[in-house]
Amino acid sequence: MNTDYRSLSDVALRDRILAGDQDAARFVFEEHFDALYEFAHYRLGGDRAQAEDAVQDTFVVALESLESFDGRSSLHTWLCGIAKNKIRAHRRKRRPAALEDVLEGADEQIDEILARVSSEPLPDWVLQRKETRELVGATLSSLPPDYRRALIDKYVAGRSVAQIAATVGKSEKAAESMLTRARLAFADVFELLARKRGELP
Amino acid sequence: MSRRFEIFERNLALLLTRAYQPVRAQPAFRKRVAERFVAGAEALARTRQLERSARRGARPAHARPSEPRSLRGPRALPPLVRWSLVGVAALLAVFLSRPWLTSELEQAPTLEAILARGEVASRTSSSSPWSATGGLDDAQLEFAGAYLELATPAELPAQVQWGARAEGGSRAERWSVFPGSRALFERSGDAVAVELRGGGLIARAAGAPVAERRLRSPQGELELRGAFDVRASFEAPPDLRSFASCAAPPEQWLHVQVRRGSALAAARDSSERRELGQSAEGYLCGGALVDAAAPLDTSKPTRTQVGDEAEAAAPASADPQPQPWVRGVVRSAGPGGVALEQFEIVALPTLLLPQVAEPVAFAFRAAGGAFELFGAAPARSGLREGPATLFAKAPGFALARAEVVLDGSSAPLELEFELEPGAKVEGLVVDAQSGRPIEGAYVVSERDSQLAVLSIAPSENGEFAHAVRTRPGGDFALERLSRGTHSLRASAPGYGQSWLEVRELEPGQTRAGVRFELKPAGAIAGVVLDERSQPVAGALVLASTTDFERKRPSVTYARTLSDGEGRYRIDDLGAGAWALLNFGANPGSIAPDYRFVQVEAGRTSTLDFKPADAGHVLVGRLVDARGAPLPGRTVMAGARDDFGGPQNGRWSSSNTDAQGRFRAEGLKPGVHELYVSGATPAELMWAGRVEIRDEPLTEHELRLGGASLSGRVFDGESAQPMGYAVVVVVQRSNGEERFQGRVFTAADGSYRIDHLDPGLYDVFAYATRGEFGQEQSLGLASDGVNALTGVDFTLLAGGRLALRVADDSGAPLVARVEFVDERGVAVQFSDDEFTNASGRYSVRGMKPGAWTVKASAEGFESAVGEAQVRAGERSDVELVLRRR
Repeated sequence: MNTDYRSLSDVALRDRILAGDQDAARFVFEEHFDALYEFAHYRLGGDRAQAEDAVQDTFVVALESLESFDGRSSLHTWLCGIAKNKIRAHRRKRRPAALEDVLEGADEQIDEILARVSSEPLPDWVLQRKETRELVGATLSSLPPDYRRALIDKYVAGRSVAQIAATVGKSEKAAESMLTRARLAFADVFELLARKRGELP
Repeated sequence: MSRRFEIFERNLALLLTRAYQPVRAQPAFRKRVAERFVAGAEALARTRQLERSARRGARPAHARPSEPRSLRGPRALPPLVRWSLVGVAALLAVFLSRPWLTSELEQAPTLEAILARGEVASRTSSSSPWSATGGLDDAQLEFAGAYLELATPAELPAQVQWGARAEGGSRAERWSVFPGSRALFERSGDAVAVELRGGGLIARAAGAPVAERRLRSPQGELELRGAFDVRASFEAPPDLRSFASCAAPPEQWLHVQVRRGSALAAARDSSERRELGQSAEGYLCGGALVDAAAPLDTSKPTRTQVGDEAEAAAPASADPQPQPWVRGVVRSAGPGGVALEQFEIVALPTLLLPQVAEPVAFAFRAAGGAFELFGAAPARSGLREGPATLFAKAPGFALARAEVVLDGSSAPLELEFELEPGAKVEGLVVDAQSGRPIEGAYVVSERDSQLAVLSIAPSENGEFAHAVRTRPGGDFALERLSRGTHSLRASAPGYGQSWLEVRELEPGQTRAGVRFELKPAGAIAGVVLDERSQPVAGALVLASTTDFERKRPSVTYARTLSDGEGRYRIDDLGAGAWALLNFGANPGSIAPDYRFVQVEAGRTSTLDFKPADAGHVLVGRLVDARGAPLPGRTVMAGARDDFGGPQNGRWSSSNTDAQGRFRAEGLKPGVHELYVSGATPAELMWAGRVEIRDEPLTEHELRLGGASLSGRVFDGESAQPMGYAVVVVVQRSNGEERFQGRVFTAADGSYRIDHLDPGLYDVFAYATRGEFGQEQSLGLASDGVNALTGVDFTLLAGGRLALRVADDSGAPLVARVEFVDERGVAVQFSDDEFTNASGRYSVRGMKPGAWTVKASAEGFESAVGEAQVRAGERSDVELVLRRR
């Protein structure tokens, strides 16, 4: 009986919210809040108060300008765009910084290892370092929400592909394919951030 | 798989399992932003709507078709008696009237366990046991034999395939069964018939099969032709008005979509079958395709009422339009409440024992927020006269409820339901010993379930339970909970049930951090023997929680059947006292034999149902003070001093007949206490003692007193009547106190206890929810004839008391505890008057003021302490007992 909001397009969700469907609003909030919070958290150097302000402002602005959302980008990208503006506003008294600059400085050795995550086995000690944790979080926060969710479902929650497929209402094949794309995206972003943070060539 | 990919896959798994720490916003912040966002979205939508309306000069789209003639609220009614204070009496009645007593008994309990683990269950004959199939990732089944029955869990689909392998390795025929479905595959020669019993499936054949392919369902049958790709699922059409009426509820219609090939099905008005060709779709109901309806007459409000399939044997369209019993509107709550298009009304009649109602759902689609409910008729399911609870449910909202008295002869009852967005509870279910999360645990809100009894087996509760399963991390989110305090129950195979109370939920609120710690389950096992000491095969044995204190809205139960040697076993029971009932092999034909059993975690308690020692029988009549018989009551005899919680004891009960006669068997010689259920089973009273002599028959007339005691209980915080209080009457005689009776308040806070003898009584009122202090009225004198009226109580917020008892070495002690208030009145807060193994005892809902706490234990000097209890606060008391 419940509407499957997951099957709706972002524009359809927008229309539902504008038509007064509170559940659609709740769905959009639930879908994007955690990712946006993580997004802001890493880009504001882990400052909770600033991240909260930025996220709250993002949702306020999103509502005010919801009618202008035209579906050319995904809702997530659109929200992240608003969040970036808000993050910039929160950081305007400081030098504007890219994500890799905000991340805690790590020694070159770690970043060199992390920058080869797709080709060389990770030593155990690296996994325990705070810098690694931060890079994992920052990477996930930069991925599209369905990639992020798929990776977390698969590796953190330990769900099977069949379960992920059932949750997102896709075929197993489609879920597997999304997971593959998510893995590749993770590798790209993770290595890029590691290289930039470590100022590696 | 390339080595490089393998390395990355391993690295990724390591990074995400060991180096990922989710960044979580503070729950309060999250909640605040969510509330503002949703409220903001609502305001935005309203503003847009008003602007549009203003531009067009039109009425808002959700305006009701007509205003009700008169608007009256739900009438007050007697207490909702869904379960009994006298656990046994309630259970007896509850389960005698359950339809599954004579059906579904073949269902093996292992199916539940398999599905609860999130695995696909299958079997290759209707009599063989179920087995789990495939891993979590791979629920692929080869259909090789003649029979394959399968059931899928809520989150996992299954694929059944057979035939030659096509290119790419897949089989010629592949039927995908949706999560939460039941299907039966049968082969005869090359022909295959698949019966879909629930859920849905997609049937695909790469080429035209050589023999017949049939898809059967309770709503009709399809023949699939050609190289087919057909989706079939039990689901309602999005707009019911486009279809002709059909007896079954729309949710039970079989939705058929032909993507490839064709499907033949019976037509409603013709002996010729109709063909659904490629890209066609249709709905099967009542054995045939449902036709599109005639154009709607839009001058009348649309109304669609559907009900229970079994009763609705013929289409209701030919009936003259009867007068509705209930009409009303369902809208979203708040100042800008919008009429809801799609909702469901569930009626749960409130029946007095020995009957218990099954809920009946009425679905409304495109109803413009308006609904009408009608009385049951031979060709139409509907309402029955009497008190009932009506629940309004809609997607995206918490349910709302109204307690009503249904009466077909008077003007329709007018109701307005305002549905709120509901609250959310997030939490974890973990193993109490290891702390490890439990996946697939079943978490249910007893308050929001539209059932009087809740099975341990989730499938027996169905859609009327407001429940969710935990995810792989053991976490769960139970959404759309109604406003107020909820009793949540968690259970999982191998674990005992656990309950938690989540208090005062508000719409839009998220309550996180609820943590269930499940302990290992215990079990009860034994043998069922008949009067000749022969084993009884197929006897229904049922275990139920003994919910004497009415702390929870529902009775939890589990059931099983004895095997060919009369043996039975019920697993997954939580530690504590359970009532065990043996209904025999023909449930309903005998009064159940019941016992009380103490279950311990990780252990199996043994209880055999053996022939009663018929040498000691108590017979007699139950009459009121004037000698008139009291039929329909339950008389119980037990060899204990108090009905505080019989454990491992045997109580014999008997319902009185029209002449008030009763017969209790299997008693042992000695003094027995007698208890009688009141006019409603919610009422229980002491009815005296009888000495069972050491001879076959003891006769005893039970004459009850003639006075009554009545009043009301109010919530002092809100000044509203308290419909969830319990009133206990204690008789004082020669300095001794004896339990006299107990009754629950009705929705309007009123209570009444009948049949009091002359004497001096103390009356105590407790709230069964929330944290209210108890109140008492002491020393009321009854002459045994005249009514004592106006004994009202106002309960105010109470505090908590946490007591710890230890010996002088600091080791915890199991001690008997007593509480005495500042006026010197001893108050008992629970059946269990002992500290637990950690020496702890806690009371929630203690009247503010000075309390004296006394602890005593064998071999120790008693100790007394003082506690100052304040509303909403916790007081800690520690008592040290010295060895004698």
